[in-house]
Amino acid sequence: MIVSARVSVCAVLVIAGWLSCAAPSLGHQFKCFATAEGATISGYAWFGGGGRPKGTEVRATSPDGTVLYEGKTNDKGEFAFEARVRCDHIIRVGGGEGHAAQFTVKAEELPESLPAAAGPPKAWPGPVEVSRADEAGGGASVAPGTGEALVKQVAALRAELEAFRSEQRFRDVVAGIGYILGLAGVAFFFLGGRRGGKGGA
Amino acid sequence: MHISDGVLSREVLVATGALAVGAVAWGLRGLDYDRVPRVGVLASVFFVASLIHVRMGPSSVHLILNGLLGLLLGRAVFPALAVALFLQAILLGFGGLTALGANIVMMGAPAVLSWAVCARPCRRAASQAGAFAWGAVAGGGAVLLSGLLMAALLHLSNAESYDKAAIAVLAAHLPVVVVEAGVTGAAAAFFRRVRPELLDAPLRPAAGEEA
Repeated sequence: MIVSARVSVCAVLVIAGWLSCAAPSLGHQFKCFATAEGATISGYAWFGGGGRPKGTEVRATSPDGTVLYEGKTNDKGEFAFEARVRCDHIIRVGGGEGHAAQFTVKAEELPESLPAAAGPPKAWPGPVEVSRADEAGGGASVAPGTGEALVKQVAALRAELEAFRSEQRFRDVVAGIGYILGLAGVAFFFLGGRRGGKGGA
Repeated sequence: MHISDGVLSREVLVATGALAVGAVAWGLRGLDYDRVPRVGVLASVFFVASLIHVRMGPSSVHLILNGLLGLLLGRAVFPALAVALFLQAILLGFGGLTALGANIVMMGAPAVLSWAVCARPCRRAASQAGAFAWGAVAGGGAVLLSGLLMAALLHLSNAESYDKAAIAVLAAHLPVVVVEAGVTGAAAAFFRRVRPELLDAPLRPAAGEEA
Protein backbone atom coordinates (compact mmCIF):
# COMPACT_ATOMS: atom_id res chain seq x y z
CA MET A 1 0.00 0.00 0.00
CA ILE A 2 2.91 2.33 -0.68
CA VAL A 3 1.76 5.49 -2.36
CA SER A 4 4.38 7.72 -3.85
CA ALA A 5 4.96 10.90 -1.90
CA ARG A 6 3.97 13.11 -4.80
CA VAL A 7 0.64 11.36 -5.34
CA SER A 8 -0.28 11.47 -1.71
CA VAL A 9 0.59 15.15 -1.38
CA CYS A 10 -1.50 15.96 -4.44
CA ALA A 11 -4.39 13.92 -3.14
CA VAL A 12 -4.29 15.64 0.22
CA LEU A 13 -4.18 19.09 -1.37
CA VAL A 14 -7.10 18.31 -3.66
CA ILE A 15 -9.20 16.95 -0.84
CA ALA A 16 -8.31 19.84 1.45
CA GLY A 17 -9.15 22.36 -1.23
CA TRP A 18 -12.48 20.74 -2.00
CA LEU A 19 -13.46 20.47 1.64
CA SER A 20 -12.50 24.03 2.48
CA CYS A 21 -14.83 25.24 -0.25
CA ALA A 22 -17.63 23.43 1.46
CA ALA A 23 -17.06 24.94 4.86
CA PRO A 24 -18.47 28.46 5.08
CA SER A 25 -16.21 30.87 6.89
CA LEU A 26 -17.71 32.24 10.05
CA GLY A 27 -17.36 35.89 9.23
CA HIS A 28 -19.57 35.69 6.18
CA GLN A 29 -22.31 33.67 7.77
CA PHE A 30 -25.73 35.18 7.89
CA LYS A 31 -28.39 33.23 9.65
CA CYS A 32 -31.87 33.58 10.99
CA PHE A 33 -34.13 31.73 13.34
CA ALA A 34 -37.84 31.98 14.02
CA THR A 35 -40.43 30.32 16.22
CA ALA A 36 -44.17 30.36 16.52
CA GLU A 37 -45.99 31.32 19.69
CA GLY A 38 -49.63 30.74 19.05
CA ALA A 39 -50.13 32.26 15.63
CA THR A 40 -47.39 34.84 16.02
CA ILE A 41 -44.19 34.01 14.20
CA SER A 42 -41.24 35.93 15.57
CA GLY A 43 -37.55 35.66 14.99
CA TYR A 44 -34.33 37.45 14.31
CA ALA A 45 -31.36 37.37 12.00
CA TRP A 46 -27.70 37.70 12.83
CA PHE A 47 -24.27 37.73 11.31
CA GLY A 48 -21.86 34.94 12.11
CA GLY A 49 -19.20 37.35 13.23
CA GLY A 50 -21.64 39.28 15.44
CA GLY A 51 -24.12 42.02 14.79
CA ARG A 52 -27.71 42.19 13.64
CA PRO A 53 -29.13 43.48 10.38
CA LYS A 54 -31.22 46.64 10.75
CA GLY A 55 -34.11 47.43 8.48
CA THR A 56 -33.49 44.47 6.23
CA GLU A 57 -36.32 43.07 4.23
CA VAL A 58 -38.04 39.96 5.50
CA ARG A 59 -40.30 37.82 3.39
CA ALA A 60 -42.27 34.72 4.29
CA THR A 61 -43.55 32.41 1.59
CA SER A 62 -45.46 29.18 1.61
CA PRO A 63 -43.92 26.11 -0.02
CA ASP A 64 -45.82 26.75 -3.23
CA GLY A 65 -44.43 30.25 -3.51
CA THR A 66 -47.35 32.30 -2.22
CA VAL A 67 -46.00 35.30 -0.38
CA LEU A 68 -47.42 35.37 3.12
CA TYR A 69 -45.66 38.37 4.62
CA GLU A 70 -43.29 41.12 3.66
CA GLY A 71 -41.68 43.46 6.10
CA LYS A 72 -38.42 44.65 7.61
CA THR A 73 -36.25 43.83 10.60
CA ASN A 74 -36.13 46.32 13.41
CA ASP A 75 -33.00 47.82 14.91
CA LYS A 76 -32.23 44.59 16.70
CA GLY A 77 -32.62 42.45 13.62
CA GLU A 78 -35.94 41.10 14.85
CA PHE A 79 -39.22 40.59 13.08
CA ALA A 80 -42.66 39.28 13.92
CA PHE A 81 -45.98 38.80 12.21
CA GLU A 82 -49.24 36.94 12.53
CA ALA A 83 -49.53 33.73 10.58
CA ARG A 84 -52.86 33.38 8.87
CA VAL A 85 -52.49 29.98 7.29
CA ARG A 86 -51.30 26.72 8.79
CA CYS A 87 -48.55 25.86 6.36
CA ASP A 88 -44.76 25.89 6.31
CA HIS A 89 -43.53 29.46 6.41
CA ILE A 90 -40.26 29.82 4.58
CA ILE A 91 -38.77 32.97 6.00
CA ARG A 92 -36.08 34.73 4.06
CA VAL A 93 -34.14 37.65 5.39
CA GLY A 94 -32.15 39.43 2.75
CA GLY A 95 -29.00 40.91 4.23
CA GLY A 96 -27.11 43.56 2.35
CA GLU A 97 -24.38 42.71 -0.15
CA GLY A 98 -26.05 39.59 -1.36
CA HIS A 99 -26.38 37.87 1.98
CA ALA A 100 -29.60 36.00 2.59
CA ALA A 101 -30.66 33.80 5.45
CA GLN A 102 -33.50 31.35 5.40
CA PHE A 103 -35.42 29.52 8.06
CA THR A 104 -38.57 27.47 7.85
CA VAL A 105 -41.23 27.51 10.52
CA LYS A 106 -43.06 24.23 10.15
CA ALA A 107 -46.82 24.06 9.87
CA GLU A 108 -46.94 21.80 12.93
CA GLU A 109 -45.66 24.62 15.13
CA LEU A 110 -48.69 26.75 14.26
CA PRO A 111 -52.03 26.35 16.02
CA GLU A 112 -54.52 24.05 14.44
CA SER A 113 -57.18 26.73 14.47
CA LEU A 114 -55.66 28.34 11.40
CA PRO A 115 -57.02 27.40 7.97
CA ALA A 116 -54.94 24.86 6.13
CA ALA A 117 -54.33 26.67 2.89
CA ALA A 118 -55.49 29.89 1.39
CA GLY A 119 -54.89 32.14 -1.54
CA PRO A 120 -52.64 35.13 -1.13
CA PRO A 121 -53.88 37.35 1.68
CA LYS A 122 -55.67 40.50 0.67
CA ALA A 123 -53.45 42.60 2.86
CA TRP A 124 -50.23 41.74 4.62
CA PRO A 125 -50.70 41.03 8.29
CA GLY A 126 -49.32 44.03 10.10
CA PRO A 127 -46.02 43.56 11.88
CA VAL A 128 -46.59 42.56 15.45
CA GLU A 129 -44.73 44.38 18.15
CA VAL A 130 -41.93 42.20 19.34
CA SER A 131 -42.45 41.69 23.05
CA ARG A 132 -39.26 41.47 25.00
CA ALA A 133 -39.93 39.64 28.20
CA ASP A 134 -36.51 40.38 29.61
CA GLU A 135 -36.99 44.08 29.07
CA ALA A 136 -40.01 43.90 31.34
CA GLY A 137 -37.70 42.57 34.03
CA GLY A 138 -38.05 38.81 33.82
CA GLY A 139 -40.96 37.16 32.13
CA ALA A 140 -41.90 35.05 35.08
CA SER A 141 -45.58 34.83 34.28
CA VAL A 142 -46.29 32.48 31.42
CA ALA A 143 -49.44 33.24 29.54
CA PRO A 144 -51.89 30.36 29.40
CA GLY A 145 -51.58 28.25 26.29
CA THR A 146 -47.89 28.89 25.79
CA GLY A 147 -46.81 25.67 27.52
CA GLU A 148 -47.59 23.80 24.36
CA ALA A 149 -45.83 26.34 22.23
CA LEU A 150 -42.79 25.96 24.44
CA VAL A 151 -42.76 22.23 23.93
CA LYS A 152 -42.88 22.70 20.19
CA GLN A 153 -40.10 25.25 20.28
CA VAL A 154 -37.93 22.95 22.32
CA ALA A 155 -38.58 20.16 19.89
CA ALA A 156 -37.58 22.37 16.99
CA LEU A 157 -34.46 23.45 18.84
CA ARG A 158 -33.55 19.87 19.56
CA ALA A 159 -33.84 18.96 15.92
CA GLU A 160 -31.61 21.83 14.97
CA LEU A 161 -29.11 20.85 17.63
CA GLU A 162 -28.96 17.34 16.27
CA ALA A 163 -28.32 18.60 12.78
CA PHE A 164 -25.58 20.82 14.13
CA ARG A 165 -24.04 17.97 16.05
CA SER A 166 -23.82 15.73 13.02
CA GLU A 167 -22.32 18.54 10.98
CA GLN A 168 -19.79 19.12 13.73
CA ARG A 169 -18.99 15.46 13.90
CA PHE A 170 -18.24 15.33 10.19
CA ARG A 171 -15.85 18.24 10.57
CA ASP A 172 -14.16 16.54 13.49
CA VAL A 173 -13.62 13.41 11.43
CA VAL A 174 -12.03 15.41 8.66
CA ALA A 175 -9.87 17.20 11.23
CA GLY A 176 -8.74 13.92 12.74
CA ILE A 177 -7.76 12.47 9.41
CA GLY A 178 -5.87 15.65 8.66
CA TYR A 179 -3.92 15.35 11.88
CA ILE A 180 -3.07 11.73 11.16
CA LEU A 181 -1.83 12.56 7.69
CA GLY A 182 0.16 15.45 9.09
CA LEU A 183 1.81 13.24 11.67
CA ALA A 184 2.61 10.73 8.96
CA GLY A 185 4.32 13.54 7.11
CA VAL A 186 6.33 14.43 10.18
CA ALA A 187 7.30 10.79 10.55
CA PHE A 188 8.42 10.77 6.94
CA PHE A 189 10.59 13.77 7.65
CA PHE A 190 12.26 12.24 10.66
CA LEU A 191 12.69 8.81 9.16
CA GLY A 192 13.93 10.09 5.84
CA GLY A 193 17.29 10.81 7.34
CA ARG A 194 17.75 7.20 8.34
CA ARG A 195 17.58 6.08 4.77
CA GLY A 196 20.78 7.96 4.14
CA GLY A 197 19.32 10.40 1.65
CA LYS A 198 17.99 7.68 -0.64
CA GLY A 199 14.76 8.62 -2.36
CA GLY A 200 14.37 12.17 -1.12
CA ALA A 201 10.92 13.72 -1.46
CA MET B 1 -15.50 -0.39 24.01
CA HIS B 2 -13.56 2.75 24.72
CA ILE B 3 -13.12 3.36 28.42
CA SER B 4 -14.04 6.85 29.55
CA ASP B 5 -12.52 9.12 32.14
CA GLY B 6 -13.37 8.56 35.76
CA VAL B 7 -14.07 4.85 35.45
CA LEU B 8 -10.83 3.12 36.23
CA SER B 9 -9.02 3.36 39.52
CA ARG B 10 -5.87 5.39 39.81
CA GLU B 11 -3.58 2.40 40.14
CA VAL B 12 -4.95 0.80 37.00
CA LEU B 13 -4.62 4.07 35.11
CA VAL B 14 -1.02 4.57 36.14
CA ALA B 15 -0.05 1.00 35.41
CA THR B 16 -1.68 0.90 32.00
CA GLY B 17 -0.32 4.36 31.24
CA ALA B 18 3.22 3.20 31.88
CA LEU B 19 2.62 0.06 29.83
CA ALA B 20 1.25 2.13 26.98
CA VAL B 21 4.24 4.45 26.94
CA GLY B 22 6.56 1.48 26.76
CA ALA B 23 4.48 -0.21 24.10
CA VAL B 24 4.31 2.88 21.90
CA ALA B 25 8.07 3.38 22.21
CA TRP B 26 8.57 -0.24 21.26
CA GLY B 27 6.23 0.16 18.34
CA LEU B 28 7.98 3.29 17.12
CA ARG B 29 11.25 1.46 16.93
CA GLY B 30 9.68 -0.88 14.43
CA LEU B 31 8.50 2.00 12.29
CA ASP B 32 10.31 2.27 9.03
CA TYR B 33 10.17 4.92 6.33
CA ASP B 34 8.39 2.59 3.93
CA ARG B 35 5.75 1.69 6.44
CA VAL B 36 4.69 5.20 7.36
CA PRO B 37 1.94 5.50 4.72
CA ARG B 38 0.46 2.20 5.77
CA VAL B 39 0.48 3.22 9.41
CA GLY B 40 -1.15 6.53 8.58
CA VAL B 41 -3.85 5.00 6.41
CA LEU B 42 -4.70 2.30 8.93
CA ALA B 43 -4.74 4.79 11.79
CA SER B 44 -7.28 6.78 9.78
CA VAL B 45 -9.31 3.64 9.15
CA PHE B 46 -9.39 2.86 12.85
CA PHE B 47 -10.30 6.46 13.62
CA VAL B 48 -13.27 6.37 11.30
CA ALA B 49 -14.34 2.81 12.08
CA SER B 50 -15.59 3.74 15.50
CA LEU B 51 -18.19 5.92 13.84
CA ILE B 52 -19.87 2.91 12.28
CA HIS B 53 -22.45 2.12 14.90
CA VAL B 54 -24.58 -0.97 15.07
CA ARG B 55 -27.68 -0.82 17.24
CA MET B 56 -27.58 -3.54 19.83
CA GLY B 57 -30.59 -3.45 22.09
CA PRO B 58 -30.50 -0.46 24.42
CA SER B 59 -27.07 0.72 23.39
CA SER B 60 -25.02 0.57 20.25
CA VAL B 61 -21.61 -0.89 19.55
CA HIS B 62 -19.10 0.04 16.95
CA LEU B 63 -16.43 -1.64 14.89
CA ILE B 64 -13.00 -1.74 16.43
CA LEU B 65 -10.79 -3.26 13.70
CA ASN B 66 -7.82 -3.70 16.00
CA GLY B 67 -7.34 -7.24 14.64
CA LEU B 68 -6.97 -5.93 11.11
CA LEU B 69 -4.58 -3.25 12.27
CA GLY B 70 -2.47 -5.71 14.17
CA LEU B 71 -2.35 -8.09 11.26
CA LEU B 72 -1.12 -5.42 8.90
CA LEU B 73 1.10 -3.35 11.17
CA GLY B 74 2.70 -5.68 13.65
CA ARG B 75 4.14 -3.79 16.55
CA ALA B 76 3.63 -0.46 14.80
CA VAL B 77 0.00 -0.85 15.80
CA PHE B 78 0.79 0.85 19.12
CA PRO B 79 1.76 4.26 17.76
CA ALA B 80 -1.10 4.07 15.26
CA LEU B 81 -3.59 3.32 18.01
CA ALA B 82 -2.08 5.94 20.28
CA VAL B 83 -2.58 8.67 17.69
CA ALA B 84 -6.03 7.53 16.60
CA LEU B 85 -7.31 7.04 20.15
CA PHE B 86 -5.95 10.40 21.22
CA LEU B 87 -7.72 12.12 18.34
CA GLN B 88 -10.91 10.22 19.02
CA ALA B 89 -10.83 11.36 22.63
CA ILE B 90 -10.21 14.97 21.73
CA LEU B 91 -12.32 15.41 18.63
CA LEU B 92 -15.08 12.88 18.97
CA GLY B 93 -15.30 12.42 22.70
CA PHE B 94 -14.74 8.67 22.51
CA GLY B 95 -12.89 7.43 25.52
CA GLY B 96 -11.21 9.58 28.11
CA LEU B 97 -7.82 11.22 27.95
CA THR B 98 -6.69 9.90 31.32
CA ALA B 99 -7.81 6.45 30.19
CA LEU B 100 -5.78 6.75 26.97
CA GLY B 101 -3.09 4.41 28.23
CA ALA B 102 -5.66 1.83 29.26
CA ASN B 103 -7.39 2.03 25.88
CA ILE B 104 -4.10 1.70 24.01
CA VAL B 105 -3.12 -1.38 25.97
CA MET B 106 -6.61 -2.83 25.82
CA MET B 107 -6.82 -2.62 22.06
CA GLY B 108 -3.19 -2.84 21.12
CA ALA B 109 -2.07 -5.90 23.04
CA PRO B 110 -4.61 -8.22 21.41
CA ALA B 111 -3.73 -6.68 18.06
CA VAL B 112 -0.07 -7.51 18.43
CA LEU B 113 -1.01 -10.97 19.67
CA SER B 114 -3.11 -11.48 16.54
CA TRP B 115 -0.16 -10.52 14.46
CA ALA B 116 2.21 -12.81 16.30
CA VAL B 117 -0.10 -15.78 16.01
CA CYS B 118 -1.88 -15.32 12.71
CA ALA B 119 0.17 -13.20 10.34
CA ARG B 120 2.63 -15.81 9.14
CA PRO B 121 0.13 -18.68 8.80
CA CYS B 122 -2.20 -16.32 7.01
CA ARG B 123 0.40 -15.40 4.46
CA ARG B 124 1.54 -18.96 4.01
CA ALA B 125 -1.99 -20.33 3.83
CA ALA B 126 -2.47 -22.88 1.11
CA SER B 127 -5.73 -21.39 -0.10
CA GLN B 128 -7.93 -18.32 0.07
CA ALA B 129 -10.14 -20.12 2.53
CA GLY B 130 -7.17 -20.73 4.77
CA ALA B 131 -6.21 -17.09 4.64
CA PHE B 132 -9.79 -16.12 5.42
CA ALA B 133 -9.85 -18.47 8.39
CA TRP B 134 -6.63 -17.09 9.88
CA GLY B 135 -7.80 -13.56 9.27
CA ALA B 136 -11.09 -14.33 10.97
CA VAL B 137 -9.25 -15.74 13.97
CA ALA B 138 -7.11 -12.61 14.10
CA GLY B 139 -10.06 -10.24 13.85
CA GLY B 140 -12.54 -12.01 16.06
CA GLY B 141 -9.90 -13.04 18.55
CA ALA B 142 -8.59 -9.51 18.90
CA VAL B 143 -12.03 -8.13 19.71
CA LEU B 144 -12.72 -10.93 22.13
CA LEU B 145 -9.42 -10.45 23.91
CA SER B 146 -9.98 -6.70 24.04
CA GLY B 147 -13.32 -7.28 25.66
CA LEU B 148 -11.80 -9.62 28.21
CA LEU B 149 -9.02 -7.16 28.91
CA MET B 150 -11.57 -4.43 29.42
CA ALA B 151 -13.50 -6.61 31.80
CA ALA B 152 -10.27 -7.38 33.64
CA LEU B 153 -9.40 -3.68 33.95
CA LEU B 154 -12.86 -2.88 35.21
CA HIS B 155 -12.71 -5.75 37.65
CA LEU B 156 -9.35 -4.60 38.96
CA SER B 157 -10.66 -1.10 39.44
CA ASN B 158 -13.83 -1.76 41.33
CA ALA B 159 -15.16 -5.28 41.16
CA GLU B 160 -18.52 -4.78 42.88
CA SER B 161 -19.60 -1.86 40.80
CA TYR B 162 -18.27 -2.88 37.46
CA ASP B 163 -18.53 -6.62 37.07
CA LYS B 164 -22.12 -6.56 35.91
CA ALA B 165 -21.45 -3.75 33.47
CA ALA B 166 -18.40 -5.57 32.15
CA ILE B 167 -20.41 -8.69 31.41
CA ALA B 168 -23.08 -6.62 29.70
CA VAL B 169 -20.53 -4.91 27.48
CA LEU B 170 -18.91 -8.24 26.64
CA ALA B 171 -22.24 -9.71 25.67
CA ALA B 172 -23.09 -6.69 23.56
CA HIS B 173 -19.84 -7.08 21.67
CA LEU B 174 -20.27 -10.71 20.70
CA PRO B 175 -21.93 -9.72 17.41
CA VAL B 176 -18.99 -7.37 16.81
CA VAL B 177 -16.67 -10.36 17.25
CA VAL B 178 -18.52 -12.15 14.48
CA VAL B 179 -18.66 -9.14 12.16
CA GLU B 180 -15.00 -8.33 12.62
CA ALA B 181 -13.99 -11.93 12.11
CA GLY B 182 -15.73 -11.74 8.75
CA VAL B 183 -14.28 -8.37 7.81
CA THR B 184 -10.74 -9.25 8.82
CA GLY B 185 -10.95 -12.64 7.15
CA ALA B 186 -12.13 -11.09 3.90
CA ALA B 187 -9.39 -8.46 4.06
CA ALA B 188 -6.76 -11.09 4.79
CA ALA B 189 -7.87 -13.23 1.87
CA PHE B 190 -7.83 -10.19 -0.37
CA PHE B 191 -4.33 -9.18 0.67
CA ARG B 192 -3.07 -12.71 0.30
CA ARG B 193 -4.09 -12.62 -3.31
CA VAL B 194 -3.01 -9.09 -4.10
CA ARG B 195 -0.13 -8.19 -1.77
CA PRO B 196 0.95 -11.09 0.37
CA GLU B 197 3.96 -9.26 1.77
CA LEU B 198 1.60 -6.95 3.64
CA LEU B 199 0.50 -9.78 5.87
CA ASP B 200 3.86 -10.65 7.24
CA ALA B 201 5.31 -7.25 7.88
CA PRO B 202 8.82 -7.85 9.12
CA LEU B 203 10.06 -5.44 11.71
CA ARG B 204 12.48 -4.01 9.23
CA PRO B 205 12.22 -4.86 5.55
CA ALA B 206 14.95 -7.24 4.53
CA ALA B 207 17.33 -5.99 1.87
CA GLY B 208 15.65 -6.04 -1.48
CA GLU B 209 12.14 -6.72 -0.14
CA GLU B 210 9.63 -3.90 -0.02
CA ALA B 211 7.43 -3.57 3.03
